Amino acid sequence: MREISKKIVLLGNESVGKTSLIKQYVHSIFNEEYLSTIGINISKKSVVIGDKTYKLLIWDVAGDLMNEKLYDAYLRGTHAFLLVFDVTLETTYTSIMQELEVLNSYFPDVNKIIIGNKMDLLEGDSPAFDAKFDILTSAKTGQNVEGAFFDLAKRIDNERG
Amino acid sequence: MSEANLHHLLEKLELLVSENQSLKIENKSLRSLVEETEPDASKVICYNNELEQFTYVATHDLKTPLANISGYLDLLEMDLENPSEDIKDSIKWLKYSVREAMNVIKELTSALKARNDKADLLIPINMDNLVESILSGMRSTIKQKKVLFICDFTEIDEFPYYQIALRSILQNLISNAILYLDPKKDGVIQIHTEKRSDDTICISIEDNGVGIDLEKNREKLLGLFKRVTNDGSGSGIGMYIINKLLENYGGQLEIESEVGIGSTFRIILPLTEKST
Repeated sequence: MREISKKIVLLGNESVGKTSLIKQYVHSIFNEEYLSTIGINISKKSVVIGDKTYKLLIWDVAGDLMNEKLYDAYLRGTHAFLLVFDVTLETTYTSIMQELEVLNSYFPDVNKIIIGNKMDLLEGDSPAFDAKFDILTSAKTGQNVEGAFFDLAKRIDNERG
Repeated sequence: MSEANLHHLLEKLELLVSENQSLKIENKSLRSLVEETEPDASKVICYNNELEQFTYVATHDLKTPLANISGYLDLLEMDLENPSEDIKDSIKWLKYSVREAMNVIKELTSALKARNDKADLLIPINMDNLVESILSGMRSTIKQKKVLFICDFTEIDEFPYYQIALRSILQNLISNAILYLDPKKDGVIQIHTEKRSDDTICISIEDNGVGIDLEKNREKLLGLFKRVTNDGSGSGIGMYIINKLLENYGGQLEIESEVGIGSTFRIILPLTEKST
């Protein structure tokens, strides 16, 4: 069966857990030690939806790289964005909301999913600050990680019809 | 036989004798040249033993200062009251670098132990982990030079090779790529792997740096203590080491470059049946 390649880009501040989410999703591993990402790392994972197989090419973009120059030069052709914030840090949410506005002007028709990560650190069911998000995840326990990427793949599949 | 023929034969004989003599002289000088340039087997064994001993001593003697640095870093961390995020970050990276240096020593020691059986050193290489560890060691330079690294190992991310050799090869190529970036451009270095149809793996390191005039410098590029620039940057050892490692462990280096555009270095490694 032919694989359909889709470019997925994860954005968000440093230390919100983008790399951990990808490592959990692709390799089912979690490392307690935090090493900030240098540049952009690309990983892949295949997802089967109905009779189609999607090869997700997942771009892990270092938190300090979010800027318009990068979007213009490297993020053209993206099929979906995952905007990640840390549920314990409101500043990371504010930051991705600002980024969302920029992305909407650059890529108005591209899917964007907002993920609140580190849900294992929450005391209740949701962050202590007001936040609109699509899904809460924990890269540490793996909770909802597979679901977040699957949901994204389904959105892409629905677009194809 | 006529007198003229005899004379002709004598002349020929004289010519042959003189040619023979000059050949003998040339042969003698060639022999001495060979002796000068190629030491005998016992000398090579002696050099090799000395080098091995040096590596043992160097690796052993480096362990103690590194352990000391690590210990003092722990003490420093405990003694600091409310350190700033920057200081915490610096301590973390110092510790990481010490750990990486210790790992390299460990790898060198096992390389020496297994020198008689290279197959022992053939282990599955995870490109993500290897490159992450190399880049982390260069973090401050990367930040300072604002280099954008794009790493794509989606085609092949794990394959068996000699980790210590590959680490050294990649480290040299990546630091060269950083060193020769064009200060007038935003530096971008792309590293990716590719499986080729001829049962080889290709690791490319592509930069948008100053580039090299290969027509003029191809020979110089791989020579010991040879530099392609006269600005004092580089030691002239890196490329020589890469070439020697590939010769010893199996592999080739392909270079493409254009002045003002950038360079691509491709490491071609044999893909064994163990590769995924």
